Amino acid sequence: MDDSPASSRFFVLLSTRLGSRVAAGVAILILICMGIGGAFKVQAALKEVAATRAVFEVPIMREGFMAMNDIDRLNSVVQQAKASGSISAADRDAFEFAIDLLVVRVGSFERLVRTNPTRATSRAYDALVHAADRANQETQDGFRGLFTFANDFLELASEARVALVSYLDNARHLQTDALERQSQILFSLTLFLITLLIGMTLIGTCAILLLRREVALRHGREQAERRADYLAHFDLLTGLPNRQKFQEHLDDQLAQIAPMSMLLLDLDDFKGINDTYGHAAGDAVLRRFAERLSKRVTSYNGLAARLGGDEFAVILPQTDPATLRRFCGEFVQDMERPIRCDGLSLLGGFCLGLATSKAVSNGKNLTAECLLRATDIALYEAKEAGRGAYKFYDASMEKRTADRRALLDAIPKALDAKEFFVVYQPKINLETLEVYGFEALIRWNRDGVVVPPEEFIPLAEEHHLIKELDLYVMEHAVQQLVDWNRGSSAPLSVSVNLSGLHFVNARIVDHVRRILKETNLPPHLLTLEITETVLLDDWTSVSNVLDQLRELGPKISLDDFGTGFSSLAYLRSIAADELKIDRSFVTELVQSQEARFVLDAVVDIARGLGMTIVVEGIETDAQADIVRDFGCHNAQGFLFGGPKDATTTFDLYLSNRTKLDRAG
Amino acid sequence: MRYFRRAMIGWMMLCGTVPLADEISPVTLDPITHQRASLRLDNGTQQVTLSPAELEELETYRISTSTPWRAIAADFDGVLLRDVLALNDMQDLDAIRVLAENDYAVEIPNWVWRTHLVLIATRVDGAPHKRRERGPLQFVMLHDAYTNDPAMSEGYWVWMAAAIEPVE
Repeated sequence: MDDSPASSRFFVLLSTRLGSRVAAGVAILILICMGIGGAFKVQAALKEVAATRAVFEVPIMREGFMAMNDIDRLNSVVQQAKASGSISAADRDAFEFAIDLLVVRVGSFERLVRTNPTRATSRAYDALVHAADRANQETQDGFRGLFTFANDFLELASEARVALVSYLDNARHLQTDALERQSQILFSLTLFLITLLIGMTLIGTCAILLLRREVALRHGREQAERRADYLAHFDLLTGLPNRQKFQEHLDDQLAQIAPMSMLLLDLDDFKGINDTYGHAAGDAVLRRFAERLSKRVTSYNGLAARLGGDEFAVILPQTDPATLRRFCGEFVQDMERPIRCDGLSLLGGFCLGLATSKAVSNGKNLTAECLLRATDIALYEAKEAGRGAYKFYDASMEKRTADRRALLDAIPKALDAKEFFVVYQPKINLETLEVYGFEALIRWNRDGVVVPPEEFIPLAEEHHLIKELDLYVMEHAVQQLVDWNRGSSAPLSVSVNLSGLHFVNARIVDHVRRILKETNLPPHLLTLEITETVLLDDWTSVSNVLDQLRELGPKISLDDFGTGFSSLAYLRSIAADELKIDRSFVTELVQSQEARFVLDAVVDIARGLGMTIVVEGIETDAQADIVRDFGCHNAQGFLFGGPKDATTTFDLYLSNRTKLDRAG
Repeated sequence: MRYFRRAMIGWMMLCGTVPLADEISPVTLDPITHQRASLRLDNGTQQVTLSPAELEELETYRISTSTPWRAIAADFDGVLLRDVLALNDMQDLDAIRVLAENDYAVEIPNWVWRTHLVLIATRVDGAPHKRRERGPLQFVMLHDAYTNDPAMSEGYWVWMAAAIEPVE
């Protein structure tokens, strides 16, 4: 019914103007009023029926017939006496008996006259009284005028019969009228009740529908509120509490000054999983990770939450280091089981940082910010330690963090103060042992101390300062090469490193174009080494930038192949000219057959893709021989010279060239 | 209908509107000379005829009540209908037919004498019950109880009662 357009419009109208709740209330009120009205109507009808019933309760018909009988009885006795000419003792008794009956009947009629004062009743009563009086008088007279009395009584009885017939007819009318009236009452009552019933059914149906609608609306509202509440406090993907809920729980715990620990967990290479296997696989990893974490945390009476992305947080009501280590160990074990998703078997490795309320300001004046910061420091340390590590916060971490911060803050100032300088490592041809170019590397002279590049480069990359450093190196190295190549018949090439961060937009293309234009370096002498230490998401965009760079003329080289985020998919997607095999492949070349096998395979792949191969990290002649045997012609390493400042490099180059010339 | 009747009686008993015969105590009556009358009890196999004096050999009771024809209350003395019926094993009949001297007849169902006090009055205000006062044998009930029970009928107030028979 509520599906029909008309009823829908009706309910929409109702709900718009009154609100279904008010409408339902009104409908119920009408129902109650109708019920009360109906009850009054029925009561009134019953009273009316009861009033008409009185006609039957008083035996008006019976009294009439009995009176007729009593008159006949007396008349019969009188006429028998008249016929016999005298009255015997038996006749006298019968006469008195009949008079008694008649007198009693007169008494009954007296009541009828009171209760039903119609003309017919009065006439009948009068006739009976006359007959009774006449009979009584004759009895008192001792039946002396029996003959006259008999004649008189014959006439009186006749009059009484006529009056009684009239009375009976009237009584029959009364009863018929009463019956008809009862029928009318019943009919009108039935009609009223049917109408009432239909009305109540209709209004009741409306009320039920309105109530149902109201209930449905309320149910919907409650559901939406519950949903909103859930969304406000829980993560939809994993079902874990979200950051908001986590913060509330943390605040509660802090308010209770309860001893506790906070853990921050970060999935290893989650972005790689997403990019390689798709977001469905990434979501599956997050879900399984959350399930296992939640299960483990629950067994320690803690709370696990997803803060966002691949970041999870835990609060445990524990500060005992042994218990916390056991927890970490158990969860590491939990996550050693691969996560299966669509036939894939993925590992959900993670880093974990942990801080106890006791370790942070000894639990006194502890704030959420303090605890979170300490845990974050521990997580950072864990990440520094490598995949699958977990670290507990201690005060010494604060110093390292402060140092890192200071180093980071100093980078922009150092750029302005020109504290950075470029060093060059030769790249040689293994066949001729001639230097054909250099790799330009950045160094930092900070207050007279050279900062190791592994200290500041990852930091700069992490905080997106690497781009300025890369450009700094490119500008200086290219200019240096132009100077070195001036007048040379065998121009040298230079390689500069470019962080993957450059490839999120095409600005690098403008920079390279500008530098080449400013220095007039033949573009083919510039090699851009892409170090993929940050993950590149948008391969199409990266390829597009690389294509534009290649159009300018520089060569593209994939640096540190075999480390970082580089992969076979990466090889296939980027059209590079050169592949630099990381030193890690070279270290064990002499001892390990497997290392040689891997190198052989990588060289095959690079050749198949038409790339030039440069092997990094050659430190011994044996390594150089093996690499040469594999058909690699270009190499780099301490065997041929480490990174040196520009002057030393060029001097060494010239000296080496002279030696080679003499040998040649 | 029977169940409805029982339910009604039960309800009325709960409301205390039904006076039972057990609620009154017997009275001892002085000997008097009764009006000439007789009551025939016919249970279908045996007939017993009793005069007012013979009836009063049963336990006698007195009720004070008005009647449909008498607004002022009078003391009616007599015997209980159920005791009279018991004389001839008629107390468990479903219904009886009461005949009067004036040829009046009425059927009285069992529940009437089971639940109501029905007296066969032989005296009024200590005097023999005359025929002109609806004697000599009159069925009398407490007027209030009679009017309060819609199932009761004025027809049960039989006067000049002459015979009681089983209903076929």
